This record gives sequence, C-alpha cells and structure tokens, in this order.
Amino acid sequence: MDAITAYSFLFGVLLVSQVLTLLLIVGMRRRMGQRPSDGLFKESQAKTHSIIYRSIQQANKILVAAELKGLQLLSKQKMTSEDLTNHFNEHLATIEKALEAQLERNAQHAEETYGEFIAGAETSINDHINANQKMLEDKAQAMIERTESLITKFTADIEAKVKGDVEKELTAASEEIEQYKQNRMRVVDERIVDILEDVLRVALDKKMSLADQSELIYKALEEAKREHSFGSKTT
Amino acid sequence: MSNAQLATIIATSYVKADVVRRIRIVREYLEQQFFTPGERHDLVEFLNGDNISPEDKQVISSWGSNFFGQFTKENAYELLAQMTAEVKNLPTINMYVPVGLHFEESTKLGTWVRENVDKSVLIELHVDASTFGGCAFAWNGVYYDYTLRHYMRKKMDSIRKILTDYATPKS
Repeated sequence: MDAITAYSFLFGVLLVSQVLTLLLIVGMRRRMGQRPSDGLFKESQAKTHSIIYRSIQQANKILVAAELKGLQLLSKQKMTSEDLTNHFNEHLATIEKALEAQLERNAQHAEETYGEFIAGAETSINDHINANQKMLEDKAQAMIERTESLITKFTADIEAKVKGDVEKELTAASEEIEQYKQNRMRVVDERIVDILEDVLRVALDKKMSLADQSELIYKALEEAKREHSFGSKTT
Repeated sequence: MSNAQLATIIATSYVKADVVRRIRIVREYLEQQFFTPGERHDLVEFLNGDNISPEDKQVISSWGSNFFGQFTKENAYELLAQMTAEVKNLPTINMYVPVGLHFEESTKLGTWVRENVDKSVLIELHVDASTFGGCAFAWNGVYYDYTLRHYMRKKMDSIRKILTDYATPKS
C-alpha cells in the first residue's frame, strides 16, 4: 500500500468518525426534545460544536502523527513491502482503536457535558422561577399591605368625618332646641306676666288709693335712680 | 336760662303742658292790658276768670308784680316768643303713670325730678293704665319700664317656681 492510499484510508476513517459524532449528537437532541429555536439549545449546540471541533483537532493530530509515521516507514528502504503493509495495518488498527476510543470518550464527554448543562439550565430555570415567584409574592404582599393600610386610613377618615358631621349636627340641633326652648320660655313668661298683671289690676285697681299709686310711682323712680337709669344728674 | 320771666315760670311749674298753658294765660293777660280797648282788669280780676283753674291762679299769683312789671307794650310779644322758644329747648322727661295726678302730686313729682334728674327738666305726663304698679319714663331717648310688669319679670324665677310647684302633683 502506497502513502496516498493510506492517507485516503485515514481520511475516510476520520470522515466516518465525524459523521458518527454528528449522528450521535442529533440523536441526543431528539431524545431531549429540544427545538433549534430555543436559547438553551443554541448554547448546547455551541458546546457540541466545540466538542466536535476538538475531536476534529484530535483526529487531525492523529492523522499527522500517522503521516509522519508513514513517512518514517517509507524512508526506511530496508523494510519490505509486506512488513510495511503489516506494520501499517497494525498501526492503522491501533489508530482505528485509538480513534474509536477517542470518539467514544468525546461522545461520552459531550453527553455528560450536555447532561450537566441541562441540569444546570434546569436548576437555573427553577431558581429563576422561584425568584420570580418570591418577587411576585413579595410584591403582592406589599400591595396587599398597602391596600390594607389605605383602606384602614380611608375608613378612619370617613369615620372621623362622619363623626365630626354628626357631632356638628347634634351641636347645631342642641343649640336650636335650646334657642327654641328659650324663645318658648320667653313667650310663656310674657303670657304669665300678662295674666298676673290682668289679675292684679282687676283685684287691686279699685282697692288702691291715689296715694298708694303715687307711692308705687316714687318707689319705681327711686329704683330707677339706684340703677342709674337717669344717668349723671345735670346741675 | 336767658329769660328771667321763664325762670320764674319754670321754678313753679313742672309739667310742660302747665308751662305752655300758663305762658298762654300770661299772653292773654298782657294782650288785654296793652292791646285790648275798653275796660282793663288787673291781675287778680283777670285770674278770677272762668277759664283759669285754681291751680293756675295760685301759681301765677305767686309770681308777683315784679314778674309782670318787666313786660311793656313794646317787648311783650318778643319776650313771650323767646319764652315759647326756650321751653321747646328745655330737657323733657316723658313719664307714663297709671292714674292722672293732682296738682299736689304733679308738683311733688316735679320736685323729685328736678332734684334727682335735672334742675330745669320739664315733665310730659301721660296716663297709661298699663303702667300699673309703678311708672315708666323715656329719658334721653331711652324707654325705661318700672311697672308691675318689670317687677314681675325680675321675680320671674320665683313666679315660675310657684307655678311649677302648683302644677306638680304632691306625692
């Protein structure tokens, strides 16, 4: 087997490994039920791409190593073609195993990473949901407390206003009643005075002499003088 | 008081109506003395006329000959006009009494008022039965009630209590 054939073989192996890796990833994605449009999926896709990239890099490294090794073998003119073929097959088998192992490790790593990412995302989402829920609860609680406070204040204000109005009305009504009472008492008093005056006049008019009447006049004038009804005397 | 004759009249007359009436008697006397033709009567004869009350006769007689001696034919009307004008300007107290007062009573009342209110005040007397039990008067534009009604109002609490006690059944 010449060097070109060996390279083609190696390239084919590498291509197969990359296709397998992609199929593995697509299969995992289908199992997780993710949609390409999801933000989390994009993040996982980036990580997957990173893993694939690393795998390709590893494969390239192996390929380069094999190429070098082939070149070394070719440079050894002493080796026979059969030995070379056997040796190359062995080496190729080794490389194949190494690649399979590497691919398996990469796939496993990708799966683990993806699982960790999903778990982290789930945790993050749960934390976010919990935080939102707590925030909503806090805000709702604050709003309830504020509403309660407002209702309490409003009720107290209304109560105070109603109380004040009622007291004002009561005071006004009391004053009105008192005024009415005073007026009625005054009317009743005047009526009593009228009746008594009439009675006394009828009873005493004929019995009182002019001297008696005159005495009452001077008595009234003396009282007026005592009460300063005449003001200061003009001399 | 600028008029001496008016001072004499005021000193012996307390009721405004008496003062006005006596000034009118004086004018009539002076007119028959100075301006009436025919027989002239002296003061005593004139005062014995039918239209002059004994009280006016007594008071006017007390003024003496000096009072009338100051009147002449020339100044009589002027002095009388002065007196009439001054009387209108004298302080006046309106008194409301329950009965008509005799001459003695009105003189006594006038004396009291001159001593206690104003030495030249004149009284305008009004008989008003509603002032029973005292009197009422208007002085300096203010009406004062010192009638029985006034005393009853002062004792209204006692009166009310008597009525209440009477109206309340005794247990």
